[in-house]
Parts: sequence; C-alpha cells; structure tokens
Amino acid sequence: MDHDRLPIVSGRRRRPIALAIVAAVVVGSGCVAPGPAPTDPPSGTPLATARPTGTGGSTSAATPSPSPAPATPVIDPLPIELSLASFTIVCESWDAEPPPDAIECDDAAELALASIGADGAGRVVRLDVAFGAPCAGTAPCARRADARRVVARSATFETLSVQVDRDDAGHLRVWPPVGEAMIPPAPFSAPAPRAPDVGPDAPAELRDRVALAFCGTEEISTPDEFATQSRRCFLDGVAGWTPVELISVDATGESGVVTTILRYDGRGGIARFVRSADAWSAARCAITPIDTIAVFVITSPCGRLDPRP
Amino acid sequence: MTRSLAALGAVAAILLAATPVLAGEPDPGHADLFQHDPGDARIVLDWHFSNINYPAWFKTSAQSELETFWEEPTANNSNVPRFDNGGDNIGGGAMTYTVQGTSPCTGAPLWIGCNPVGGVRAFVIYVRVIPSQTAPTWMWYQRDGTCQDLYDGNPFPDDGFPTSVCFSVMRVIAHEATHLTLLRPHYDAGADDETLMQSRTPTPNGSPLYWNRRNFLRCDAAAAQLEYGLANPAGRYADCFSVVPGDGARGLNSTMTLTTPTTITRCWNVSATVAGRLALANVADYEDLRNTPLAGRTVRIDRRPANSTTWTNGLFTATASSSASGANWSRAITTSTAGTYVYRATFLTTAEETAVNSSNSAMWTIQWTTIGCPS
Repeated sequence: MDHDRLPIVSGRRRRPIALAIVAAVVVGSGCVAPGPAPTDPPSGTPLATARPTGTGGSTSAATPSPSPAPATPVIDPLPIELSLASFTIVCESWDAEPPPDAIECDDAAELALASIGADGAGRVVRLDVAFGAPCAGTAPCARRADARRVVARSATFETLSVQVDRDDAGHLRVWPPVGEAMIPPAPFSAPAPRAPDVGPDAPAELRDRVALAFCGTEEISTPDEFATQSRRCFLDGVAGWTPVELISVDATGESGVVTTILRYDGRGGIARFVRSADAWSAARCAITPIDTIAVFVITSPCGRLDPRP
Repeated sequence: MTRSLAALGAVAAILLAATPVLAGEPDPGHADLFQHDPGDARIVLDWHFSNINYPAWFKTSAQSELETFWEEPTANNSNVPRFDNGGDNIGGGAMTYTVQGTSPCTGAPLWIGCNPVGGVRAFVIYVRVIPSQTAPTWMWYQRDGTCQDLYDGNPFPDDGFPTSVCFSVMRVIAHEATHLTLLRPHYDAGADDETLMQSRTPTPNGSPLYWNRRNFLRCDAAAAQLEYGLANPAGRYADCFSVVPGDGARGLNSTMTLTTPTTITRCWNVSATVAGRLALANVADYEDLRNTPLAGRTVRIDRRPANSTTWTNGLFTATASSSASGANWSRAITTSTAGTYVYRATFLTTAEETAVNSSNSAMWTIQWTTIGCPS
C-alpha cells in the first residue's frame, strides 16, 4: 500500500583573525536582537592556522592569503575529522535542478574546512556556501554551478572565504582561505520562547526541550499550504544566529500525519525531528533558502541523531 | 487528524549525540525486492499501458521515465531492475492512468500515484488523472510542459478545472518504481536533496530543485547500490554511505591485496610484474557492493630501500580494472640500480570519491640482483 498522497504541503577587506568561545543567546519576546555578541577572543588563535600544503600531509603555518585571489590551489588538502553536522551550514539554492557538474554543498564545505586547516576549522561555527567564484571589487560574480564560494565564520564573526571549483579535467580543487571583513549576524526580531507539546511518544529530547523563540506551527492540509511567515521567521533566526523553533504538521502524506520539529540552537546544524508512521527520527542538517512561499528546505549534509525514547 | 499542540513548559538541555558523519544514510528499509546477488545479470521488467488510448503526453512521459531517466547512469549507477516494454504493449507490469477518486491501493481519498505490491513482475503502477472531478485544482506539469493553467479560457477553452497546484508525473512514476523495486516504506526523514521517497509529493514551491526529479537522489542511489550492486564499477558511488555501512570517514572501505609473491628476486635489468586486487571490502554489510572492483581508480606504488624508512611516493602507478575476481591491476616494476627495495601499493581516495576511503597498503620486497643477469 504505497501511494502518494498529496503534498501538503523553503567590499572585502583582509583582517587578522582571532577566535572565541561559543555563546548561545536567547533573546526575549519581540525584541530586535543583533545576534549573539562575540565572546572574548582566546589567546590570538587565528581562524586559519595550519593547512596542508603538499602531498604527504605536511603542513605549514598559513594565515589568510594576502591576495583576494590566491595564485595556486591547495594540494591534497587533509580532510578535517569533524562532522559537518556540527556546523551551521547555509547552502545557496541553484533555483532549478543543478547540472551534473555542480559542486555539492557538502563537498564544498568539507574542502573549505580542509583548506582552512584543522585548528582553524575547529573554531569555525558557520559556513555559507554560495555558487560562483569570488570576484573582486564591485563586479558581479559570475554564477557557476561548478564553482563555490564558502564563507566561514567563527563565534566572534571573524570571516574567511574559500573558493572551491573544478579544474580543466573536472576534478575538485580548493584554494587557500582569504580573510574577509567581519560579517556579523543579521538583526532578528525574535518571537516569544515556547515549546509546544508534540505528543507523549516524542523522544525525551523533545519532551524536555528548552523553549526557544517560537516561530509557529504550520498545519498543512492542502498542497502548498506553507506558513510562509513562520518559515521566514525560522530562516531569519538562523540568519541571525538566534535559537528558533518551527513545527510543521503535514496531514497530506501517505504515511499519515507527518510532524516535523525544526530547532536551531544558534550553533550547529538544524535539528530536524520527524514523526512519520508512528516512529521518530532525527538529524542535524543544512538549510537552503529558496525563493518560493516555502522559504527554505532542509538539505544535506545531515548527521543522524539518535533520539532517546 | 491534526495533532493538538499544547504548550509545554519544561526546560532542559537537548543533548543529542551526533554521529560523526558527513552525509545521510541509504534509504532505510531498502531491500532487493527482486532477488539479486553479486554477479547476477540486471533484471529487466517488461511492462505495458493498461489502455493504449491514454493521452500521448502521458504515454511519452511514462515511457521516458521508465526506460530512459530511471536508468540514467550518472544518477543511477546501480543494477536496480530496469524497464523495457519490448516494443509492444503486452505482458509484464501495467501502467494505469485512472480517474478513480480514491486510491486503488488503499482506498484513501487523497492520492496521486500508488503501487500496491513490490517485487512482482506483474506489477501495477497507478497514476491519477488530474485535474479531474475529485482533484480539480491539481495538474500534471507534463501535460502542457508548464504549471500554468492553459485551459482557463486563455489560450484554450475553459475545462472547468481551476488548477493551482502542479506536480511532476515523472517524479511520481520514479517514486512508485522505487517502491516496486527497492523500498516499501517511505523516508520522510530524508532531506530534500537526499531522496525522492518522502510520502509527500513536492510541488515547485515546496522543492524548486527536485519537484521534477526523474531519477534517484543520493540516498536512493546508495540503497539501490547496496541491494543490486553497481552498473558500472568505474562510475561513482552515491554520497550517502556515511552511516550505513559507515566505515571510516566516507562510509565504504577499500582493500588492497597482492596476488603475486611478497618476496621477489629479479635481475636488476629485467622488470618484475606485480599484480593485486583493489576492491571494496568483502564483508556482508556491503551486500551487493562487497568485493566490487574499484575500476578506473589509481593504485599508487611507493618504494623505499630496505634499510631506510624514507619512502619515495608515486614512483609507479597502475589503474584498476573491472575484473570481478582475482587481480585487477598489475604493473611492471623496473629499477636502475641493484639492491633490495620495499614497495607498497595504495589507493588514495580523492575529493571526488566521496563514499570510498583510502585503502590499506599491500607491501612486497624485490631484491634486484646483478648475479647471472643478461648484459
């Protein structure tokens, strides 16, 4: 019995970079928050410290490149032993189905972290992954599916950008990080914190969860019945590095009512709890803004969570 | 049956242990609904339309989906059964386009497509006629190649259906074909770009990138590869194995073995051919992927003097072939000087190889001698 019911329903300047400790900020009802304040930088550890520079895994100290367009790509960058689900990742949408040579958001994020190096990557909290190669000055960037620009930010908003693209043979390559002007979070007008009941069978993490700024409950009973305003609130909270929650209840799917709780803690991936066919599952994923009434979709990379009963 | 969402005041920290993964997992619940083991030929499913008089756009879309897009090798590098109507319209499974207002599979009032049972050659895929009396606002994109209602009096006469919600019949058929061959349950926890097996069929508003997806997304492909193996061992593995099997950083382990002796004595001016196998791990968790040759991948051969710890990397390379068993790479090793050297062969994963980890190193020793050698 497998049938689909309808959907019921998503001027750069170089700066020296230092790092800080994560601090979540919960803002009060209705206030406009500038986002979390940066915490004191610890002992001058730069966001970009050591990165691989050659075969065999050798490393050397690397500060942000002195030029906006580094001359040579990083050779054999060492993968970073960190889960991408531990970062807030915002992936730009290609707007339509991407071509086969498009660089996946998670591949770009992984390579960018490798280029930044292990020490610096450990201090990155957020990655914004756009299409198109970086461009200088005020010229508009050419938007290409086979080129990505990854903006990495620390908890103190220090910012690096990393270009990922394909060489003439189609192989992925990554360039050294470039220091950028500090990009603080966007202001966000947070709604009041709430944590509505989501049922007695919800995992403990949900039953006992901290109330976050609550963007609302979307109840979908006909296709395209998205709660655009609530979804915009959630996306704006992510943009503002502010903890937010959104609930979506979809009664149109074949698996009966599908309940989704989206939570953003101000750091890390978007926690997505899904109740479908009487079972709960959870993951931390990236988010992709889209230019429709759905405002965003949840996308890979995802890291599975194991909710406690 | 909308759930009531009452307020809750409890406060506690969310403490969830994220597994150290970079991607999702193959569609949970997958199974080779048509029995298939490594080395088995790809199964071909015959099919036909239940009525030859269905609209031309529907027949074209359905046939394109099942016989072209479904098996498109980039998106679907697996041996999941493929479809072929044999150039006739008889036998095998049936594609039924029906105006029925309730699901032919469950009787549910809201439906758009369904497949009542998987793993049978006499299958049926039902697709709902829309717009219709029972679904007057829904429409198929493929009817006119647009989500605009062309039958509202401009440019064509009003058909009486005020369509406002658009779906892709090709995505729905791909979804039902996946139910037929691979996955009975839905995967609602899958992200928008991971699977087309959610229970909700997306609209262009809900999934602007994948509402018209005509073939597997990454975690569908990973499930199909596990159950049915690769169609082309030189092609890509889906980027969705980090949780299952979940080996190493990328999910799938590779193994390097030697099929030639580990100790060789050879005249210094005569080459020694060394051979081995580079393949995925041969373990049960890999299902139909076990021992799959890593065809087209580069084997790097390094060398060091027997009395030294310093390796010279990449002195030779070899390319693995698609041999299903035994050696699948070989290399003639030469030297310009006599002496005893240790060699190692390794597969080093690349940025593009998002699902396969680097292999172990297979090592051997060659004693290059001058005694009794041709001049």
